[in-house]
Amino acid sequence: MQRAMSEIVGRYVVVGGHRLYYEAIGEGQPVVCIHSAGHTALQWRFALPHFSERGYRAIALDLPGHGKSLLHNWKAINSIHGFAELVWNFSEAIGLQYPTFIGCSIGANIALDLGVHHASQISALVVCDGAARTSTVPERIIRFGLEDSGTPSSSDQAYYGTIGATGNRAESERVEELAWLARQRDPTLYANDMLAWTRHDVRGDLGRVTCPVLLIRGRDDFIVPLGLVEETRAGLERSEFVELPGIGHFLHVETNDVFAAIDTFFARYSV
Amino acid sequence: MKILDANNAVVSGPELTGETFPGYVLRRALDPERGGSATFRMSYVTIEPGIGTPRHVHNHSDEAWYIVSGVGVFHAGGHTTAIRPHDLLFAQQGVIHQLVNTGGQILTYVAITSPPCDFERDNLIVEPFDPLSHTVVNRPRERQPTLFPSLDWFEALADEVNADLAFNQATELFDGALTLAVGSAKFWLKVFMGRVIRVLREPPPFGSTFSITGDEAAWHALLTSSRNNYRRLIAEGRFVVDGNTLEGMRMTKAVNILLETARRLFQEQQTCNVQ
Repeated sequence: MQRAMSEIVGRYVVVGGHRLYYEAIGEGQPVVCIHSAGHTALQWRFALPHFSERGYRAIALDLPGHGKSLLHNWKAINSIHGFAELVWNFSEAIGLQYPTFIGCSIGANIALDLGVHHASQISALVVCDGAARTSTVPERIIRFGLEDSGTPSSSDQAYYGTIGATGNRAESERVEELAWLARQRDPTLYANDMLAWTRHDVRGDLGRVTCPVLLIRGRDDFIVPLGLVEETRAGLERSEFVELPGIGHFLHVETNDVFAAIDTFFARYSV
Repeated sequence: MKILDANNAVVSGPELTGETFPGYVLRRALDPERGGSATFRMSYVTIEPGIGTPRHVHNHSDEAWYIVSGVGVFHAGGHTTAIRPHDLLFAQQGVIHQLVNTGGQILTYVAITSPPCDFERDNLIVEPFDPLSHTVVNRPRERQPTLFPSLDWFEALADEVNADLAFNQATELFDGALTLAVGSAKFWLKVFMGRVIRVLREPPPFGSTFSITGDEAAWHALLTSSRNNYRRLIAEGRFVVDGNTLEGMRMTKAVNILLETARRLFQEQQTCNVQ
């Protein structure tokens, strides 16, 4: 794993005017990883080697404005569909055929939106701690975050909030790393991500998601209640649901144990 | 306080002459100039929470201290020791020393110098006391906390965070109060420039800057958790923050340190009870 981690290669590609950064490792069927709100591709540094060692080309990108990806015209994206179309164009720009998309949180919602609009060209989706509708935070509250004056101690908020959102079985070092990565987020950009999160609602379009979908939820995740995941599953044609005890909202970082469920899903659907 | 001689005659009354520095009062109790012994000088000293003596040395007098109340640390000869009531301390002449009140209550002690120290001429200050850079080592526990929730328990919590440099720094730019409500029981903590300076069983009429309210079950879930789960309990609505919530956000780190300390204190207490 350590060796594989050092073989991750970073590149840039311009898509829709955005200069996007992405990391990749391995050869094989493409698996595109999409990070959560305010985070970057670095969040997938444990997952990328795992998938490459199992014969996939594992890719993770920084969404525009996040990490090393620049925003076109410096206008933040605040809709899940806006992000999703950009991710789709990104996957085409780097020549991916029938990719699988894995996302966490807003990344999970982006993956679902990709399923709604591009299912026939997608191998599978893995939706980690996301749902078809995630109106979990009032937009009025999120809007305070669009102003710097409305986000005092935003770094500490990010740090302690992340710790609180992980599960009891999460590895302590992973939690600390994730919480420090959360400190890097720009509060106003994060607020735009959260606007996208809370406005997202593709319940009426789930019938168009014809590719197989794995829904994974950490049982300790208070951000996406079980009911929202069950509601999502009810609208999907081909889906599986796995709930992980002792795991929270950032399941793909908290421990590598969670990848076993994804491996099983991939094997079952010949991804 | 009165000072009596062998004939039970009052040598000196409560109006002792003293030397006052900010947060530090030295009362000369017995000294050669005032009818005391010719061979030693005894002083009665009170130090406010967070205050300490400068690092200093007497080159011609030995000094001994008897701690009457409060807790702190004693730095002498390159060593640091936690001090508590009834400790007897000693430093020979020429040894640099310092006493610091790291607790939440006034630190009171009796100091004796022999031969009688001439504070004007034999009180060489090596380094003035700096409350912000002072790092507490070997933090003492002033009192065994009683059962949660009680005033004593929250005062013990205040002692703990006051001795935590991270909390001191997180609240250095704060002048306010928070109410921690455990069901109907309310505990008011006044925080000023890095320290909890007062704990009350009920908020005063002017209230608090912000308050954190949870029922007993919520507090139990918080205090028994293996990891800081405050954010989760907030999200689940089991804790509610109200008042000036923006200021509450600004104090995120301080609140989390306070609650993490509460969790540790509670769990240590449970362990002690089991043993």
